[in-house]
Amino acid sequence: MNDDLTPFAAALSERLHEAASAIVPGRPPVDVLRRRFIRRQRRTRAGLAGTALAGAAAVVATPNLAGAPAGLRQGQEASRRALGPGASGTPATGTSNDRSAAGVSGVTVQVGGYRFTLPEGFRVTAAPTLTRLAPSVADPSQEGGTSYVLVGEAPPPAGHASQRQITIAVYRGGVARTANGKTATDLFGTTPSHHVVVAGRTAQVATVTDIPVDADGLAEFKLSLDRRADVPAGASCVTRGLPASLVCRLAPQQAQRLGLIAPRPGIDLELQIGPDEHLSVHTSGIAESSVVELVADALRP
Amino acid sequence: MWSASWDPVFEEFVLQRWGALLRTTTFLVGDRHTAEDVLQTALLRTARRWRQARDNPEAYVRRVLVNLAKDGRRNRGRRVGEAPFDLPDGRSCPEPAVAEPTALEARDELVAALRLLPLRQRTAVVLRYWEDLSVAETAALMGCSEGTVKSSANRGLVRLRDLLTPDHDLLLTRRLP
Repeated sequence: MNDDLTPFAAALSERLHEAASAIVPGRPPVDVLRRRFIRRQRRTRAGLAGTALAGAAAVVATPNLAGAPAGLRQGQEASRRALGPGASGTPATGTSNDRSAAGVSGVTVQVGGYRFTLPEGFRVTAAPTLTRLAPSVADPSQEGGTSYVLVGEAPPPAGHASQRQITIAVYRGGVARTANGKTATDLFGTTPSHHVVVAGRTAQVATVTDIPVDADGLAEFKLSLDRRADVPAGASCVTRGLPASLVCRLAPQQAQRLGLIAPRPGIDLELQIGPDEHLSVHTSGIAESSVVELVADALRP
Repeated sequence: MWSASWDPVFEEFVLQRWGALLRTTTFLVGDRHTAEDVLQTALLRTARRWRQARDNPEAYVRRVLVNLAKDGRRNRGRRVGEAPFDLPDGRSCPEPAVAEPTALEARDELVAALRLLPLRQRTAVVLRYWEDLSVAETAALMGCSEGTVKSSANRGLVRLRDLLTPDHDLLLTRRLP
């Protein structure tokens, strides 16, 4: 190293350590890793089982080719069972590059690579604010993040005459991890009608449509994920009136049976509703981590 | 290796080293959120190869991270970037309100400067001056010669010095007795 760089190298090292101390890591995602690991193992096993079956069939079939298709079918079936209905046995990774978002209408907000479509008819009534949140404000234990707050009005629910004031807060970054909705009230002096909280980064584009305008006060909304390269577009999740204590972990097949999601190959959806009436939607694609958390708070008109 | 199983030792490793690894990853990829994804992927790969990695899991993860950082650079062109939000009447979204200088800003400044370095220089600088690895260790991780590490780190330092301390004579004055 050049002599004149030595002091800078020392200073840089010190500065890197100072900067590192400002990177608050949060809770290690051990549960997410374990789930992804198990899913991956299941898929790999199923894939290998399929290969083995097909291979065995091929060996057996050497003197009798009629046996091969049956073995291949079994192998494909094993893959299909692991991947969900409609899957062909080929993981749906890296093939779809469809950036379109189904059902997009109204104002689109893009924050940090996430795109949110606001309720149809939503009218912005105040300038949006995009705010950098310091950890001390948002949550001392968490990394600061970016919040995006829109204040506006939406058409009234059926049977109601007046417009509803709606505040939508979109969080990105560590704030999302608090997932308690109280932060926004503290920060903005108002209780958002809807919190759209995004944690994790793999779902590159999340489109939220149909945020509830429901006369019954039921939680009804639709989350569309459009992960471009990793997840086929159009996976959606619709929940309605789930009890607050319900915790669902749904395989795509189960979810389809319950009419909760339109499953696509390669996506697992996990719905959780905690006692605090926050709904979390976790998705896992095959190739990447994916945690998109949608927290709906104060959904009742 | 489909017979790999979830090892509690790996879980303990993640719990203990997540923070340090996330910091390294953030410096390497230049973005906290991307870093979380990259690190998760690296850890998942490590878990699936735990029998190979368990003797020195941190080194294994670092190696995967360096490779993923390279992959990320290649894939960047396919990512959709952030787009400013325009109000319906054409006004633009206001810039983020930045508070007084804080540690966060200092961190962001440094990370942004690192991001301007070519990947090889950035990797060399991060591994040498954040991870405090030797030239040989860095070369092994980067899959290049020690000479390449030295030259990359040097070039990276020069560039960072220009970016971070345009008047670097002041820095020398301040730090030297």
